[in-house]
Amino acid sequence: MACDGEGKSLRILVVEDEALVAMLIEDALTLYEHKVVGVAENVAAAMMIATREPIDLALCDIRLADGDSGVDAAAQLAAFGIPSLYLSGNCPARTDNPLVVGYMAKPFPTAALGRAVTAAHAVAQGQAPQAMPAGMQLYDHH
Amino acid sequence: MLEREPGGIITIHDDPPALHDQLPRRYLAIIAETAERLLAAEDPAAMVDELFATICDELKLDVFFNYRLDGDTLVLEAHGGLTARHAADGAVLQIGQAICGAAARDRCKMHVTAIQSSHDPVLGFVKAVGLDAYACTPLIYGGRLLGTLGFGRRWAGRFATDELSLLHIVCSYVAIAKHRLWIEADMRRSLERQERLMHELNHRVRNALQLAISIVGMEFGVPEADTPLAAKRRAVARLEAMATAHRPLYSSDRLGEVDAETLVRGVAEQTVGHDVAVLVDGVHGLSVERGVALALTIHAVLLDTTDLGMIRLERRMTDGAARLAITLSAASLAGTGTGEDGLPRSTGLLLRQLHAAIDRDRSGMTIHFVNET
Repeated sequence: MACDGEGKSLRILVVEDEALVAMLIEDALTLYEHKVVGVAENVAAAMMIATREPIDLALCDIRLADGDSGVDAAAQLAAFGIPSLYLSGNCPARTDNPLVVGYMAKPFPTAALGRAVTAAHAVAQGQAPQAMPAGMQLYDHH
Repeated sequence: MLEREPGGIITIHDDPPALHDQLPRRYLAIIAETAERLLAAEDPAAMVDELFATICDELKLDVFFNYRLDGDTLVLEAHGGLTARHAADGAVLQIGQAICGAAARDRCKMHVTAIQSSHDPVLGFVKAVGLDAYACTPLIYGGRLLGTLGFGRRWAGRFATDELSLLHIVCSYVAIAKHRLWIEADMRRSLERQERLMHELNHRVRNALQLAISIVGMEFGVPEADTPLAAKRRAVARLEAMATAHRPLYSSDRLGEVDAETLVRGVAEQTVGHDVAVLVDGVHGLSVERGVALALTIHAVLLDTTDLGMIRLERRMTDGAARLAITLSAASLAGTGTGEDGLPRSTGLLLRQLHAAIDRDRSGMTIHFVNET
């Protein structure tokens, strides 16, 4: 069942240190027929998953376990060509990382996750998103 | 009034220091310049360095010592005209030690004359520095001792009365300026703390709401045979467990940290519905993220437990690592070996978030993990 009806199933990496929030994201994305290839609580775990799994998009919290930052995770994932969308209560207002397409501020409605992921992936592919949920912002990289 | 004492030490009682009509005009100019510099000063040590540069030629000063009161000791904050060895020797003084310590203890200005011919042990340090005259003033503002400021000469055995008046006036200005800088630094620290608190609160509120959504959302995974009322009760109980982890927040200076004993006791009593004895071997802090994960884990474990006896919190060394161990004494939790058998998926994820392991024995269950706050 693809609830948003926007096509392709994506391979998603969730970089989130709170187990229950990660579970909620994973369940919601599964509902929208995306595949969560892994949940990482810090930068090292994210990179370990990135080296063994093809990933279409990473969803990165900003404050991670062990004092790590989701900004660092997104930067290191970008070196592998993996785009990111921040999901955090403290999303930076701007970024120099062209592969961070945007952010969705916590608390976000789970029903919006499917559309957010599809929109973020479209932007990362250089396309215009068909629909973007309320609360999602794109970074201006121009 | 001057009071002559043996050993060349003169204690001076002239509070507050007065601006005498007879002071030379150039002294008045120095006082004006000093006041201007002190009003604009931004650094306590640099401020006294500049002051020394302003007055040392006029008063033919060789040395200055500026001590800051730090608890019960005097710490040398700024100095001039000293060798590195002398500065190290006088780096810290006890109240009452040497002439500066005596001035701080008695809160009196002191003028020491003919030091090189004195055998008074209190003068040993300034004598070793080679001084023959020394004037030390306690820096006091609003009744609070801030430190001392002393000036010395090697070439003469005393200061003139006008010179002492000038030094005392300058020192009273320094006390005011240092108090102002202290207040400003205190306000800056306070504002920085407020800013950190606001940032932390912003993060905490948003994260807690997201977590609350997840906690209620967990009910979607429960079999449909369950009643809606039971589902609501479970969701409310989990939210209460999460709230327990947030309740002790911001009660101390350690932002984002909660006391493990308060947390475990609170969530256990809330879940089992009666008082619980908690034995603890010390104070254990937890980050709020770990606190929430632990609270929800204990809540899940104790949900159907009716025979909980005691809870023990202790630090254990296992394989060279300090682990926080929470032992729940209840026959219904007893078993053998390790593992998460019978626990729901969400509890397994929380245990992984904590990097926690579970051990069971004949008396109950122990949850243990490396606790780095």
